[in-house]
Amino acid sequence: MSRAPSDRLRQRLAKISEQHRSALDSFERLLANPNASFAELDAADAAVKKLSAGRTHLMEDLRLAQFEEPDRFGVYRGRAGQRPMREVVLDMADELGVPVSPRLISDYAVATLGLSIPPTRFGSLRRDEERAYQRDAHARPAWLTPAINAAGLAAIPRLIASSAWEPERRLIAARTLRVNHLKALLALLKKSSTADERVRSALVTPIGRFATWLPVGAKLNLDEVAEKANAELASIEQEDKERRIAAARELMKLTPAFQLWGRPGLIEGGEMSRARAIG
Amino acid sequence: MRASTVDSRIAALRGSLGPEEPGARGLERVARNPECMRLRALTIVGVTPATAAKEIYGEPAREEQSPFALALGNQFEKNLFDNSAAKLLQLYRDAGRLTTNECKVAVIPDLAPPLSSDPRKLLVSLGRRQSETIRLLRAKAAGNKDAPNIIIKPRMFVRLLGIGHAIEPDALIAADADRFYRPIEVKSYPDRAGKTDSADVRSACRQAAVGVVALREAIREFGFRDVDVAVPAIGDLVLRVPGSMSAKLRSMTLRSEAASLERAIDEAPRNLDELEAMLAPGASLDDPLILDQIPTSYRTSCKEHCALAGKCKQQACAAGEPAVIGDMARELLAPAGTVTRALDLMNGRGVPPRTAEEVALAEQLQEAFSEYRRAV
Repeated sequence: MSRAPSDRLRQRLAKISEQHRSALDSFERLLANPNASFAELDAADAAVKKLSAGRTHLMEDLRLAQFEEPDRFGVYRGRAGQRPMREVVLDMADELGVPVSPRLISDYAVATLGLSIPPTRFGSLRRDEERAYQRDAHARPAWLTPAINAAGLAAIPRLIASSAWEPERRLIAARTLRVNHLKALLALLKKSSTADERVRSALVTPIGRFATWLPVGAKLNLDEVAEKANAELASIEQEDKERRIAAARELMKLTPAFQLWGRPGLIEGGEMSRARAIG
Repeated sequence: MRASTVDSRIAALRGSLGPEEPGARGLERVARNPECMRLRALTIVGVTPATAAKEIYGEPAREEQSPFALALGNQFEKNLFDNSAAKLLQLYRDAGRLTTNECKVAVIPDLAPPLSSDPRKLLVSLGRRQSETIRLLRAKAAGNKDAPNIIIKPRMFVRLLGIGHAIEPDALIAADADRFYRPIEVKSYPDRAGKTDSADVRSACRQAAVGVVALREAIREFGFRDVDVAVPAIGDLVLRVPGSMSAKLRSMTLRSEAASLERAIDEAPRNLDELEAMLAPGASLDDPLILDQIPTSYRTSCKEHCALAGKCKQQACAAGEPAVIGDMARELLAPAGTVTRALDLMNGRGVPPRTAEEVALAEQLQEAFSEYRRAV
């Protein structure tokens, strides 16, 4: 009888914890040895960090596995053995190239991979990412982060970005929502032009939803849509980019955590805020 | 200080019930029937008629709208506001109201943490929505060229008794050249031009007018004097094209709606004093016997907007109020006061007419009754 995924993960966690403890012992022994070189210390330290990152990774998988236990959500559909959801989402975000809504990523995953990622999962995914970052900022090469508002540099939780992107790509200025809308549309068109028939037909709906100028029921001409999107983008992108670059300079003055997760949002006081509370 | 005094008076009147935001719908409800003291009293203390019906009178909750209408409305709104309000932006471009460069959109709910069932987190989230809205409105008022052209779900305030009552209009719109914003009200009613249900259009216009009042209050706080010029009484209704999910734009003049709302709001402080004077010391509205003491002004149209309409109709019937027959009868039979008295005047029974108005009404009723007898 096969074991549940969470049991397998627990066993791997026990093994990696043992390895971590042993690596830590080696590091401490080297520290105590006055003849140990810096290179040896550095290598031992790297081994500890690698195992620590591996343990964090397994813990995330365990969280996901428990979340998907059959007794909680019906029949187990088995993401075990597949890539973690966060990595799939990071890939999707990279393909679209700009901060996008969970719904678009979800639609894009269904269309291109046939993979169901409910938009409702993104809230907990983003919170898990932030917690994991706070535990060990170097544990992963890239994090799923929120987009950052250029005015005030606070997070925009409902737009998904990647920490690997340059800061100005993660920032949202006055015209950026429209610019990103057009860029996402162009990314969908690009994908459609290189994809097989199944993916191409699955992408027709999101493309139609993004090309809002098309009359209802009009036949979709991808070249015309791309031409119109590029023309509009050309007229608004430069000014938007300048705004984002200026905001990026301010963003880079903040602590590394605030650069990725945004500054805490301020609540303004004053006359208008004396509202009656709900509940 | 004044606000906290008013707050404690209101809390005492509310009794055991928790505060609720009346919202734009609640404020426009008051303007629909400004003579109904019970409705005003509940609005002042922050209790909706639906809560009053359920919690105070123990009546089963009556859905304000059919679940199908609600689902259609939500879907229509989502369709317009999804993808950075791309469809709404397109609607304004197609109408020639915004140019390609006027594409600055701010989605207020996206700028704040999601709403939570935890009251503290909820307050933080609502506070952020409010702060972001104020920041953007201030930017527009200051002539900042980065101020958005469309703001989705702003959180604004209408002051009643010195306290800001939160409203969240569907959206605000302003071209770069406009001095300030105007409200957008999205409704999934099919737009059948002159044949659109007039009650639906009136209700949407009144809700949009609440947005006008809130925008005027906001711009007044930013130091503007000519608020009527900066925020004219105009709003945009976005309705559904019949048989599809496409949207249609209609600009509406809201002069009378905004004026009646402003009048209703201006009269409110006097009503709080009146309300307290009407009740025994220490009485609160969560007691059905106390609430029953507050006079109503039943109209047949009350059922369109007020969950207490059924209760008020029962009381109006018991009291023989002409309003139960209809609004025309309510006006015509006003000199008699009750249906019973009107019947007495018509049949020449009971106490003879006491006033000139009763004499005129008696003659009118007797003449009409004779006509009726001849005809039937």
